[in-house]
Formats: sequence, structure tokens, C-alpha cells
Amino acid sequence: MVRLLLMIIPVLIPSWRFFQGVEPSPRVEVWHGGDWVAVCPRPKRVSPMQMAGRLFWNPVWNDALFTTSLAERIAMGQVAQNVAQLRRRVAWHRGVGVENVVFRLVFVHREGDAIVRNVTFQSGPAPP
Amino acid sequence: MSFDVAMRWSEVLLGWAILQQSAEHMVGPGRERILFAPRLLCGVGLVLGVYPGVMLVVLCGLGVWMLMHFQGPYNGGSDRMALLITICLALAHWLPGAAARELAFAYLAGQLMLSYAVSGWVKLANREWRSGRALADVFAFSTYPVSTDLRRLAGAGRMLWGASWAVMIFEALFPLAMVSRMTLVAALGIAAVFHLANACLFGLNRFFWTWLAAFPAILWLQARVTGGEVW
Repeated sequence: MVRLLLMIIPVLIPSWRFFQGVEPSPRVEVWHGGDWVAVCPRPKRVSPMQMAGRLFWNPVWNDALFTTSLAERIAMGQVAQNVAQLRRRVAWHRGVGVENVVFRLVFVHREGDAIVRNVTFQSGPAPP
Repeated sequence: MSFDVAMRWSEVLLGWAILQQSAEHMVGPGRERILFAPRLLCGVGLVLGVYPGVMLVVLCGLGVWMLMHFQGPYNGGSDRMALLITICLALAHWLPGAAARELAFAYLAGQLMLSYAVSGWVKLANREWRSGRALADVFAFSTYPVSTDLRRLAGAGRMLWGASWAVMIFEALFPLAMVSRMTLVAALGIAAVFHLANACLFGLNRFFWTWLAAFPAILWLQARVTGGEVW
């Protein structure tokens, strides 16, 4: 009940502190073919027509944003349930079984003038 | 815009936003398809005006269920705003007495105003935003740019500085738009373009549709408070 209240109060009394600063940004990478690859790689270019279409239909991108939310929760220490949830989403994005998913979280941030990547978490194989 | 007409516009726009979001979940991971189907139907019902009061109450329940299922919002601020609009509209539908109903709708309008103003004030207080560095970092390494080509904009220092200040000034001064209907309509037009740009550049399509659903509330409140012409 307390947990539910903690989720509803920010809905009723939002803080609205959008983009106050740019925090370290998570990337979810999956072990595939002997290398780590991005779960949801970006295209090189998105045309204006595609942008217009995505106003109405953008399920893959929105789920990719949710995977980054899960990555942030894991980084904050909320591990068990969010790892299972993230593994399911990664399996869906990659079109593979959950049992085949091994992923890691890379946080990208600025240090002075350099953009730095730090691996902060690596999953084991899916539990049987 | 009378209270009833503004309510109806908000219901239609919210119904569309919910329909659009829920349809996206129909292709998502397994069990969610079943769970989002009733939400999609409620969105359709809200657009068509079929028992809107009942639809709103059901959508409140489904919104809370979504928070529990995803252990928080699925799509950040847009999910929270959608649920806030749903709750305010449900209260404005069911509370006894005109004053209480108007208060619920006015609360939504107030939160819409704060969503811009607070966001602008916290940016103005941040040195990184004032220098343009924050927006450059959004393009350089945040998860939001929808293509790798867009990341090159991180190097467009002057343009990003100008864009940062335009966003900060617009957001921080948004409450001043309440002085007249004309200024408010103009501000909401700019806000819609701002959300559209975020949808195109950062893929935040759900924010665009969700925030539009709150616009009728602030248009109604402005006329109600200033005693201006009610559309």
C-alpha cells in the first residue's frame, strides 16, 4: 500500500523538473555472436516522413526508452525484478528466447571534454 | 469554451492519446497485449463519448495498474500526465456540485501551467542549460536522438545556445500567457510545436498527444478567471 502511494503521489503532485541536467545515459547491450551489440541500434538517418509516421506509431522506440528506465532502476540498486523485466524486453527486441539473453549496462557521461563509457552491470545467463 | 465543451474536448484528446499508446502495446511482449486491450477500448469509448464518466473511472484503475505492473511509469512523464488528466476529468465528471467539478478541472489547468513554468525555472537555475552545454549533451550522448546523424547537432554550439534560451524563456514565462486569450492561444501554439519537435527529434510521440489533451482545461480556466469571452 505504501509502495502504491509512493507511485501515485508523483502523479497527483508532479515535480515537473524535466531535463534539469543531463545525467549519465544508459545503453543496454546484448552478447551476440561473440561481441556486445546495442539492443536497439539507431538508424543513421530518419526522414521527415518517418518522423511524421512515428507520431502515430512508435512502439519499438518507446519500449527502447523503457529499457533505459529499467537500466536506471537497476543502477539505483533495484535489481531483481528489473533484471527479469529487462531480460524479457531484450528478448522481445532481439527476437530470441529469454534463456538466450545475456546483457550488460553501459552508462555514458561527460568527463570534462571527453565522453566516457562505464560498464556498470552485467547479467548472468537467465535462471532456468 | 464552456466547461462542458472544454471537458468534452479533453476527453476526446485524452481518448485518442490512450488509444494511440495502447495500440502500440498490442505488438509488445506477450501478456501485455491482453492487459492493454481494455485500455484501448476505453480510449475508443472516450473518443466516441460512450459513457465517458464510466470510461474515465475504468481508465483511472488501469492507470494505477500500469504503475504497479511496470513498477513506475512506462513512458516517464507522459504516463504520469495521462493519469493526472484522467483523474482530474473523472473528478470533474463525478464530484457533486459545480464548484468542486470546476476545481478539479482547474487543478489540471494549473498543473499544465506548472509543467512548463517549473521546467523552465529549473533550467534557468542550471549553469549547463544557460551555457547551452546541457542541450549539446542531450544530442551528444543521451538516449534520445532518434538517429546517429542527429548527434552531429551536438557541435552546433551557437544554435544550441539559442535554442536553450528560447526553450527556457518560453517555459519560464508561460504563466504570463494567461493575461489574454490571444496570448494563451499563441503560447499553446508554440507549446504544441515544441512537443512536435521533441516527438520528431527524440521520439517522444506520447508526450505530444498527452499534453494536447490538457490544453482545453487551461483555455477554459483563462476565460473563467479573466471573465473573458467564453468560446
